[in-house]
Amino acid sequence: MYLPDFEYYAPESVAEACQLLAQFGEKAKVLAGGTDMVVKMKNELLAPEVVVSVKNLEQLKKVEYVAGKGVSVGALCTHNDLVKSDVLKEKFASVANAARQMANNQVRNRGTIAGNIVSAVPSADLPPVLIALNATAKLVGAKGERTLAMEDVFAGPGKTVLANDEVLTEIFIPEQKMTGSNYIKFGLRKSGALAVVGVAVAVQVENGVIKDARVALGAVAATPVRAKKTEEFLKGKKVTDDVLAEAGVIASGECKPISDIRASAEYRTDLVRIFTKRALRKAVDEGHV
Amino acid sequence: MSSFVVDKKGIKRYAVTIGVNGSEYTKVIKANTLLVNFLREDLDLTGTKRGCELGDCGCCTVMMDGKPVNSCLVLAMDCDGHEITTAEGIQDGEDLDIVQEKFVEHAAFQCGFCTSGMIVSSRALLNENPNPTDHDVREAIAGNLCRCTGYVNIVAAVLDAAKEL
Amino acid sequence: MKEYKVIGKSVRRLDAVEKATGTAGFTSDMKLPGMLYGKVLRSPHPHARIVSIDTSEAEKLPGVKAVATHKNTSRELFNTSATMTFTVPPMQPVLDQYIFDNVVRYVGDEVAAVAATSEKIAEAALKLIKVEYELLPTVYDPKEAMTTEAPVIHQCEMKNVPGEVIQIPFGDVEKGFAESDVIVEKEYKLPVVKQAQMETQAAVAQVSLDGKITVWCTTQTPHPTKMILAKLFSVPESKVRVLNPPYIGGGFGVRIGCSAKAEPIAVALSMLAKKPVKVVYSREEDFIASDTRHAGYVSVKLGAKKDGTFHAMHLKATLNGGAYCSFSVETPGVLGCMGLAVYRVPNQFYYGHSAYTNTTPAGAMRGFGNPQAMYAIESTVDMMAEKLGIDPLELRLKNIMQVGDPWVLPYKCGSTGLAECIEKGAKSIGWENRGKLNKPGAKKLRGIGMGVGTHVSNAWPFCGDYDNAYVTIQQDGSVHLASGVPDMGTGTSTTLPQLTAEVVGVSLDRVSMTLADTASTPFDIGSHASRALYAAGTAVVEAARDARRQVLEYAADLFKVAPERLVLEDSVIFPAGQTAGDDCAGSPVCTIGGKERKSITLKELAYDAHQRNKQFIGVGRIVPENAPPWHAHFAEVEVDTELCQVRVLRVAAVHDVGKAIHPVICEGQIEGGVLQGIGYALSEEIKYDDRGRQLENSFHKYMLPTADDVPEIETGLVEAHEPSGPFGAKGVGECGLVPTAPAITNAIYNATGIWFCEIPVTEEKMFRALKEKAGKTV
Repeated sequence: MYLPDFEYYAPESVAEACQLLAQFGEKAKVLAGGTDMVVKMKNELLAPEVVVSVKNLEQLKKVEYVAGKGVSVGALCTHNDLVKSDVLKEKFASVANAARQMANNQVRNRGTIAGNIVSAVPSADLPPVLIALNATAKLVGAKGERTLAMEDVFAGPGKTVLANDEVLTEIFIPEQKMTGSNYIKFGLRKSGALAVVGVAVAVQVENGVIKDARVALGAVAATPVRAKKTEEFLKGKKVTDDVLAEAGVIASGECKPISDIRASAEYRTDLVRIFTKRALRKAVDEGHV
Repeated sequence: MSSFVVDKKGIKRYAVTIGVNGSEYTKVIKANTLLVNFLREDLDLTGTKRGCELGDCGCCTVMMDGKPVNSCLVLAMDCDGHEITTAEGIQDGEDLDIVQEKFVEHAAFQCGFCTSGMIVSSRALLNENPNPTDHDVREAIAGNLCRCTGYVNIVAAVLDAAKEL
Repeated sequence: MKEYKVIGKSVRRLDAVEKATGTAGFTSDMKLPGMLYGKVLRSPHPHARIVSIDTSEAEKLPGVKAVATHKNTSRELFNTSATMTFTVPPMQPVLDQYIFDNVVRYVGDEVAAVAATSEKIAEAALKLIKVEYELLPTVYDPKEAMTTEAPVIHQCEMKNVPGEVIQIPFGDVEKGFAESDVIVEKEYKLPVVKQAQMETQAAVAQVSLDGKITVWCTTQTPHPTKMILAKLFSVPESKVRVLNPPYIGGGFGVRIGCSAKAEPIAVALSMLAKKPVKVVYSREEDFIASDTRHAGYVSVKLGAKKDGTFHAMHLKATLNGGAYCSFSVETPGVLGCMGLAVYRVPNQFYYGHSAYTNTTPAGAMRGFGNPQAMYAIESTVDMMAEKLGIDPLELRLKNIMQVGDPWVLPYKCGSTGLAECIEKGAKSIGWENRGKLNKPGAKKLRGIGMGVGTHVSNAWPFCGDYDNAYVTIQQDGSVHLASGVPDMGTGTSTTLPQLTAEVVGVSLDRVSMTLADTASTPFDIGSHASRALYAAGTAVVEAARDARRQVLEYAADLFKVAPERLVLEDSVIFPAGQTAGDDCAGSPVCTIGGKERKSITLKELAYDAHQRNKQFIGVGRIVPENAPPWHAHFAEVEVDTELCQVRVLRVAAVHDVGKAIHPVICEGQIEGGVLQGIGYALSEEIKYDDRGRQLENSFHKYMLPTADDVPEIETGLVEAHEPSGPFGAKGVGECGLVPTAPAITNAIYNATGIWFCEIPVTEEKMFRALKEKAGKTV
């Protein structure tokens, strides 16, 4: 399997990258870890004439804590960078744990957080937990930059709102009032399997009462989605098994999965019910975000 | 930016310098050259296998700056200035590396086709974590498919190698 | 018991260092000067006539050296499997394939091939070939394929049934059922699964100017493949050399004969281009255009007396043969033979065959019909146990075959350690805890199940089957073994030298082996049917004995004693009763180099012979017998009834292997087989869409178990001496897969009370079954 011919650029700065993207327009594609894009090119789903490799953008490979504000994750952090980040382990272990559940070790060493977001695969593992934690995405383009809520980045399967000349540079996870969060996925095997269903939750529990909740679902719609009715239902409820189970039922009513070779829509819907319940229980019990 | 020449068809060919198993290789390649093919075809390092070419089987696993990656999904261009270690580079001079030694001792292979990638993944794990648990080993090699062994002797070999580090 | 010096010991594998350092030679790594790369154009349609094919644009592409189609290649009918070389009368091999035909019969069928200076150019050229298809009606299910409405895929005596129906009568089955107190009858549906060996099908062909053909390839059977290629290209077999280089990245049956069509296509392109050509299948090609395991239907009707004595069994199989025959005649045969051989049932009948469909051809895969048979039979036995109220383990112990029992097989049941396998396995899994593992109301349910089986150690007498070997003593007394059998990972390149060293009387490091090369080894039918050690090994032992005999006869002249009085041990020859090198007065002496000696080394002797113009060349020429290995598997599973997911927690696999020549290799075979069996039971399947396309065509979609999915596997070896095998050994290669699936599905029943009569038990199937069960109980 050979790739088509293309020109290759490895800009030294984000500005230079944006400028190249503006210059080549539709013909150009940004290459980060390649674990998704190279596969698409081999399968002839993508044939860029110009590849802009962001391998030299060292400044985008850091995870940093900004006191009082949250954690800044450079767009080119690999999944294993997230898994191994002491900052994340301390502040947002749920993100590190979500990254650990992805693909396999080789892919986690190359695939980046930006790639996982920008490729907009409905079953991607990081978007749900980032949405649950109210993270934002910073997009830098030739004409300036903007910051979007994570859930607003996605436009459909394989589609985002990024303009041709825009590069995702940073994911920012704000300090939380949430007391617990996590992401659990269901794949057809433990490693190297896409999520059949992924559920991320974040909850703020005080004295046994849920003050706030965010629930995000992966692999059950064209994009990762918030389960807003579930969130509303949870607010103000006492944490009981019945409440969490009921939340699962509501969440299963909020998803619109498809049937494919991995699972039927009906089974996926049922998994959302179980996983929402389990993810909430885990978030409450573990008591960390 | 690496320098390039334009061939007769108008396709750019770029000069890259890639460290492989401790030696530096400067070659002029097309941008679409995959690392696995650079190793196998340009350097004749056929220990790195092509098992699926889509990043699912791990037969082509090499270390890039010490970390195992699927060389079928990495552009050789992206390795310019980086250090690659292949199965052939694991050996410690004339002697087998302890991981290789333990694979031999435990018969941690049958057909041998996944073995190169398996040993690269295992060695990378031990470099980072010299005291792995059974689960750590399984997680580290879960991206390396083996159809022959049931993984039993492979996991045993890696755990045994760790004991002697 | 005799103390062995080399066999029975888990010596360092002789292929170990090469494989551990990435230097072992595989076909897909080969490069010859001037070598071209071949790529294949495959049909996008499940059934179509090629109306026209235009290769002119492809031929014009710079770098393209040859384009092959049905118009410019052999019109000799053949069969990619070795069946065409070892089917014996009255059976006739089914020859139903051309390299390229003007009709395509499944998605992936070969339409054309290109040889070019690079793989990339060859791939690009394929896109320039214009093909006009006329679509034909299709059928995908073997039962439907036999109906009058179904399209004819190949002309057959019985609609779409290749070869003949296999019928095995034994006793009077009708009477048997009439006399039975309890009858259980069930039909089981089986999936298409794939060998998924790590090295895809590959061949490098070189055709010399004088017409000699050399093919390095991934075949499991170099000699039969040589015969296939010679016939296909109308050249004398003496001018065709087929060899492994020398390793194969796994096989599991997928290349008994040709490696799909890698060899024929590489040779055809090489003849056209007059350059060496390398053809390596992509993983997708390997999935869609390379033999699978037979899917289909197996039904079992089992009758028993109230006390649990089995009295009648009717076994029926309708297998999906896919678009071409391959081993579709033999597989239902072995399915029936193995299915009827496990239990002593006085009245039995088997009726089985395959049917052509517009799917990937089904052929040999580890177990060769036996896993299909035993999933169905062992499930039925558990159902019977429940109906009778007898413990399934006790029921099996009561009914299993014993040495000397009459059975359907045309050779004797010369040994069985099955009862011991069952007892050991039961202890290992904790059978006594069965039924006591779950608390009321638990959502994760555990269960224990078992399955047993037998298999062959060889292919005789199901087909023509013989082995030869040479053992030559080199001029320095070291030993060379030549055997035509490959090592596809199963360790023959270690175990056959072990046999040689033991028999000749030298240490293993003095033995070297040439394997799997038709030019330097005598005919051998290859590595399949769990036969390499048992059958090729018998020839090796014979050759080694012959060499040793010649050595001792030569030495006897020097010592002036009868050869029987001489011992050859650790490369030293001396008279019996005397330790090598001892100065033992009165014992015979030999005179060599003018000196009188009490003993002589093999090195000295061989060189002495060399100086007198003689080499010791041992020849082994045998028709091996056959023998049943036996196995009992036990599985403990946990079913998460909320997630609808089954996890195998533990497997205990105990095998009667006869003598374990290399225990670690034996265990490795079992462990690998168990994991394949787990995949067969739970996750592996290739499904088709309504346009005949394979939905699982990559490792991303086809769920092979990873290291993270492996349960604890406890293997046990039982060594019931097999008189017909080398040092008492039997086959083991395929056995690990045979009873694994039913052990798991029986454990699932034990956990959930649900029988799954269709595998794999995917999450989706469990979801539906649990829902249905809940609906019933509400």
